[in-house]
Amino acid sequence: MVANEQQAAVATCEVAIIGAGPSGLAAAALLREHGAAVTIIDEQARAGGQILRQPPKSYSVANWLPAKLYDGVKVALRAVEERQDIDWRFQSTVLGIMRPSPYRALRAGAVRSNHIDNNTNVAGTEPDLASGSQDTRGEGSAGYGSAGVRDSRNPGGIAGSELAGVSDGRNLGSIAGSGLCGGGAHELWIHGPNGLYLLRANAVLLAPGCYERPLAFPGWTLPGVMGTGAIQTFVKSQQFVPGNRFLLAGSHPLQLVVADQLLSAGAQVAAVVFTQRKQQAWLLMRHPLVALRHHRQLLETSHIFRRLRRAGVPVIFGHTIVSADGAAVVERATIAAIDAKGTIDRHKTKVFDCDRVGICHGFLTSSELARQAGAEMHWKDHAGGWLARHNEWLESSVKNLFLAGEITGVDGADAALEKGRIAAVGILRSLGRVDDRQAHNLAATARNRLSHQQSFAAILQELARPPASLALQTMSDDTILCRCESIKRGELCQALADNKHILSADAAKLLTRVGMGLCQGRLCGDNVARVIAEARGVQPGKVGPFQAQAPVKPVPLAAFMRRP
Amino acid sequence: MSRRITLGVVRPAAVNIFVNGKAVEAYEGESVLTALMAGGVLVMSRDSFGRMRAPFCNMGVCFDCMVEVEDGSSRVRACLTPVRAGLRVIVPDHN
Amino acid sequence: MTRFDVVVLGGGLVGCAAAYYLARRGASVRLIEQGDLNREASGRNAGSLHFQLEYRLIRYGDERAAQFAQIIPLSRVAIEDWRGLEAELQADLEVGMHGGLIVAESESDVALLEKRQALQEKWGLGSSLLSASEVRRIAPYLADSVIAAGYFPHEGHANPRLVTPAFARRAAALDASIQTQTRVTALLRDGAEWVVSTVDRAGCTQDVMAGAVLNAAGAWAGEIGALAHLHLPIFAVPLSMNVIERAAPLIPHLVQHASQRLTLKQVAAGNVLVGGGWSGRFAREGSAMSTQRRAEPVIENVMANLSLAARLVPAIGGLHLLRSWAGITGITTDQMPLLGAVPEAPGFFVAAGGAAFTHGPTYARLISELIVDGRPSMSIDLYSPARFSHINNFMASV
Repeated sequence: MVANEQQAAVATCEVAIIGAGPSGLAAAALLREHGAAVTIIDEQARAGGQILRQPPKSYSVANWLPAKLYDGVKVALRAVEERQDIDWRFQSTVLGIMRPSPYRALRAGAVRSNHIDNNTNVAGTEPDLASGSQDTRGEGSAGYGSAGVRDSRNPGGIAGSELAGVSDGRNLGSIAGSGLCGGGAHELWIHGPNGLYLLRANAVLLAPGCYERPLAFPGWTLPGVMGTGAIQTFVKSQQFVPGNRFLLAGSHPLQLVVADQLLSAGAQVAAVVFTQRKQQAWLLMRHPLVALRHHRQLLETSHIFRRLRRAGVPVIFGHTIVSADGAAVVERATIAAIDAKGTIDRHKTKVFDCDRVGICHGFLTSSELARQAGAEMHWKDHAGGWLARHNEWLESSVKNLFLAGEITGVDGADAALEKGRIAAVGILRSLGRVDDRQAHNLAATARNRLSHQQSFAAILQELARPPASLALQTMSDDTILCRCESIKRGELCQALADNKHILSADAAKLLTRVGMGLCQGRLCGDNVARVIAEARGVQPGKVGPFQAQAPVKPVPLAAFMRRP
Repeated sequence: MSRRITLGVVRPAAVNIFVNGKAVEAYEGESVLTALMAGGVLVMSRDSFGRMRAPFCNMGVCFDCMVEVEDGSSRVRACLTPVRAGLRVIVPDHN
Repeated sequence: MTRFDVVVLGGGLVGCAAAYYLARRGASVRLIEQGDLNREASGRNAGSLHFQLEYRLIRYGDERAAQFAQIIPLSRVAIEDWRGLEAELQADLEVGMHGGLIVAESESDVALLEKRQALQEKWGLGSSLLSASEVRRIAPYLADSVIAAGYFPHEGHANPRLVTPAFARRAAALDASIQTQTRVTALLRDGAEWVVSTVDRAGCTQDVMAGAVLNAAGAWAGEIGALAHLHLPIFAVPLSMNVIERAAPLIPHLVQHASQRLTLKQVAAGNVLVGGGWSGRFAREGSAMSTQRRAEPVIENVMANLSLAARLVPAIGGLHLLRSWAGITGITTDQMPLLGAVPEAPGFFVAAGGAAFTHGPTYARLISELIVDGRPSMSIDLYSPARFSHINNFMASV
């Protein structure tokens, strides 16, 4: 260990929630109800997550997201977003979840930083240092846990701390009056509006959500091709129609919602293309569980179909996008039929003029922080790819790293709310704020609701899945697989042929640079795994994800510069 | 073309950002990406292979909307960066 | 029982290179790697080809610096090995030997450079001391704070991602058997041979006979030594590395600092790699430090390392850090490599420790000569494990 004369700026909190989406918000509400101090970190400027990407605060939007499917999550958002007793840290990126340093704990307050002006050498830190047991990751709980001495009436953000916030000049909360807990369970590297700092937390709730699973096909890197969710975000958050004539292609029902929103906003929709054959979709929709419990969603879907038909928008089943073409920007897209076995029939194609293409083939979990932290993961293709394992309290294999929302399976926003609540109870239990019996009682309703929602989610995942081999069929050898490093599928295949010992995505990355660029493999990882799996005759889950390393998102070097 | 929705939306007073030195109208709080696209810019950068990079995810994941801001000394994700009056942005292939 | 002339333990650069050189000399070889090839220090180091004395070697006083300078003969051979490696392996390894600069920012730095130079010259490695203006001329990207630099024209870098796989490909082409995801569970001496017991991921066990065992397990060489009831004084240390996004070509040299921890270079793709021996932090297993779980970078050290890099090369200040990591490497008690036969354990060879990227291909070539021909083409006595016989005298029982 090299001791540095200059320590990083350190803030502390009791519970750090990563992600201000439905699950993070639901957890925050429950944690506050039981007196836990809460800090929420999110990359966006406002709460809501991707599903409720809000317009800028400076806007006023009449009748924002009127569709019923948003009702549940909107209630959760309104319940907490104005709360002043939560330490909100927006426009902030968590770069890593690290083990606290045994060399830093006592000097946490003694940083030479103009953001921190107080010394936090308080009782409770020393025993942990002496025992050298800060490292609680995966090895039991020794060494963290001053929860017992924490003053539950003195929650974060409003406590009379003299420690000026390192991130946005606000109070840091839970240090105050309660004694800085020795080292905390985790140390987050955070890059916020005021630079880089550490946030030490007794418990972390990881609720990072998901992003669109990209399909690679000739032309998918052409300007104008984007995720359908990206298009939707322009409409609902920016109140902006990001093009003129849209073609939406994929397998997820979200396409219908976005097509409807685009039409309402006055855009043209060239077509909505589903990989599923029509019969397949209807069979699932008529599943008794779906019909009974989710009649509202079904009703809404049928309204959307009617509106699309009225607007003359073709909804085409059993087809997939196979290429996007244009000189500098998309000018047209080609779709091709898929037969009953899921094979693309390139003799049956249709071409649509359009200046934007949205692709929508389900979602991938934002699993990088869980992986970086060393949490055990497992692969479940149509539930979001890499999911984090957890116990009944949604605690990951890493002690005091809890999980909520899509990271345990892309089950949708309503399920995310319940997961947030269960994880919050798990955290309260772990912090000693509720006992086991209370915890089980508190979580009972949420568990019950979650199991219903998950059975619906399982059906939806089944309904929304493209044919398993679709990605391998749409990519040619000449298709760019890794956008950032400009690596084509053929180049990866050649490397695999030349280097028989390469069995994992990570080994392929090391040799070929695939996944080494700015997006850090988020956009290519899934397709890379499929290519390797095919070459080696295994399931993509056996190929593994790319290794995630801090910083999990690129950071300007300036953030690391020592302050003079 | 790309355009802002106005029906039922009240925005703050317009401000200018400068794209390759030229004034483009935008609104405080709006993302730089939206302002650029509303101003007719879709290509945010050219990468080291000379390929055009245009927005893909609009949520901070793909890094395809990285643009040079101010004097070119820093690059930011346009989708995560709010507009402020006078912001200078440099994009390729745009006059 | 299957028999190999040599069983190589460890699938990093040294192991894969040794498998190649051994196979090329006609030996039948099996290489055993507990994980995947090139996944630890060999693939995670900065790829520096540094032949001048590193800061770590001269910072502990004159006497020890003089002792460490004994590494230079190996460096001089390594220069030739690297110059010929791409042709030898018929592969692009992104070897760029365009010169290395050890920069000085103060008078005491200059004094250190002069001391370095004197030591290097004594062992036949001629470097030059450049003035501020000479530095500016060949390295205009360096900050004005640089007042002098030690320059050696053969220094540079190669790509760690590519070197080990190239050796592995060539070794396999020469019929070396490469087994990954396989752990050695026992090493037993049976007459004049070794019996190597292994278990793979699926739980399948296997015993093979070996005329010789080569321990090329890097930071894990001590654990392999223990299987043969030996103490090999090599310690695992976690060293940080930082990768900065692609930029236009700017830095053709390997840049180091006279008195601080820094290596800085720009690879063929344009990324800037910053390292220099800043420590990361091990995970723990109970009270012990774990070398099986991933070590983490330490934020203060990343800050210090990057601050130093951006101070010396201001142009990188506007770029983004892509990744940091802590790679686990092995350091011997005296910082010199362990290269040669262990006298107390017949047929047991070691090639580990030291600057095992810069010197790795050379270790591998020389040890293969020792194993197959009985003597290497240059003396490696200075690096022999025999210098720890005073320990293993009490360990191995023949």
